[in-house]
Amino acid sequence: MKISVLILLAAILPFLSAGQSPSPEPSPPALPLASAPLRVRLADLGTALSNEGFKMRDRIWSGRVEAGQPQRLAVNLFRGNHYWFCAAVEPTDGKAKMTVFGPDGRAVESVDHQEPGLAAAGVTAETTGQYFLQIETAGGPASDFCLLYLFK
Amino acid sequence: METLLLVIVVGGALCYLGRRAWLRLRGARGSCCGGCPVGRSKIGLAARPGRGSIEKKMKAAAVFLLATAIGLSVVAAQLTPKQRAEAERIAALTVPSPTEFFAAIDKAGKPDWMSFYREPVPTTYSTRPRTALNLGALVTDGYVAVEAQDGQQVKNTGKDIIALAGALGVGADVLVRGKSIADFADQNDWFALREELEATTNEVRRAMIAQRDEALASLITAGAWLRALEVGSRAAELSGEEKAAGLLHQAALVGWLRGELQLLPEKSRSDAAVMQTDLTLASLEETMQGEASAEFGEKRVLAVKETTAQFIAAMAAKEP
Repeated sequence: MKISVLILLAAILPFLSAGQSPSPEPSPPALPLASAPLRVRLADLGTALSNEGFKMRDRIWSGRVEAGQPQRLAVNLFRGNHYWFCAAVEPTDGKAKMTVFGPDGRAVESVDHQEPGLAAAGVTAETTGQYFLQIETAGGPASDFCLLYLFK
Repeated sequence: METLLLVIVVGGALCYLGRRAWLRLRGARGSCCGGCPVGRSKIGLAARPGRGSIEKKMKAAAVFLLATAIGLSVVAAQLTPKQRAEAERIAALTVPSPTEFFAAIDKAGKPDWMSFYREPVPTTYSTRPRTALNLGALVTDGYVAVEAQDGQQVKNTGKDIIALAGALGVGADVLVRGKSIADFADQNDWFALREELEATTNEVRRAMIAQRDEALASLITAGAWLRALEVGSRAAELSGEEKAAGLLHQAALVGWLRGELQLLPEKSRSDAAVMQTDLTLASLEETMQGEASAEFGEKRVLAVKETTAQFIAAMAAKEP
């Protein structure tokens, strides 16, 4: 009986995890749109991190993300540097998740921060190379998002 | 790969369950179906003396399948090469700021930033591509001066940046930035200066793109990175630290910069400075190939230094 349960679990687990996995579909191009309130909320979070000594990149990345269709951005990070990637989504009570993937495509260990309408991930780069940021929403209609990048 | 693993796991699980059910059916009460006169010794595994070891094998198989499934869930949390290739790439964020690179160099071993200064470079060039390349390199010089916390050098570099931006016809767009750079340098506000230098570069790039001159925008970025790599490789050479050398593992970035040049119109690509930039980036890309975790040896550090130093010197040289 126990073995049967184990086997069934083994068979079901991939399907469960597939629901949370990145979509195999290509990321559609991001729209260069972000409302002012969205940017203000993001800037507030960025300013709080700036006070911790993080430098903010001059540009933000904005677009639209749909449930099950995460958006991804390639960034080049340097070993030893600390980074924060923060995203704000609309509506303000929307749930978002930020994941950082390393040069080999595996998710890297990060300090995650989530609150309604905001998601952030802090990482220390273990190697120099190209990393990938992924922003996704838990469900509901498509959301506008914008993303900020800080380093120290 | 994921699909294959999924098929193996699900197929294996179904086969096992099917076989187990069949054996139970056959083996119940010591006969194949409970009614046939087939002796226990002639039927399935359940009746054999080695049943214990078979069960162990089954358990091991179950553990293996479970471990495979767990492994698969980890694999599923991984991006495929296709997903990585299709990730968005935007110059303003995908290309790091030289100050990020210098922050990492600083952590690997505090270099003497003043030792990376160059002789003042001309502020007039015969072609716009060369002007754009030198403007990018000058922005990186500005970051070097900020790292050295040398206010006067920052102001001098800021003036040259504005002069070159003027030569490209976008001086007015960054004139205010030039004033801010001077003010922050007077106040020794190094934190703000780093942000101001990046903002200035982006202003110039945006103005270039607005003028439908994407080629020059790409060359500004390339010039800035080639000068940053020259400084970084020199710092790695001087420190001799493996950590500093490892920061030169930038094949993806260099490849992307090169790709941007390939997207330019044929007319732009046939310019001598653009062709020279492409050749330099191709050479660097080859030098930087290999696993990110692999050691970036002294030979490669020197190759990066020589390639970039020659290019930056050639682009900045006075024209007859």
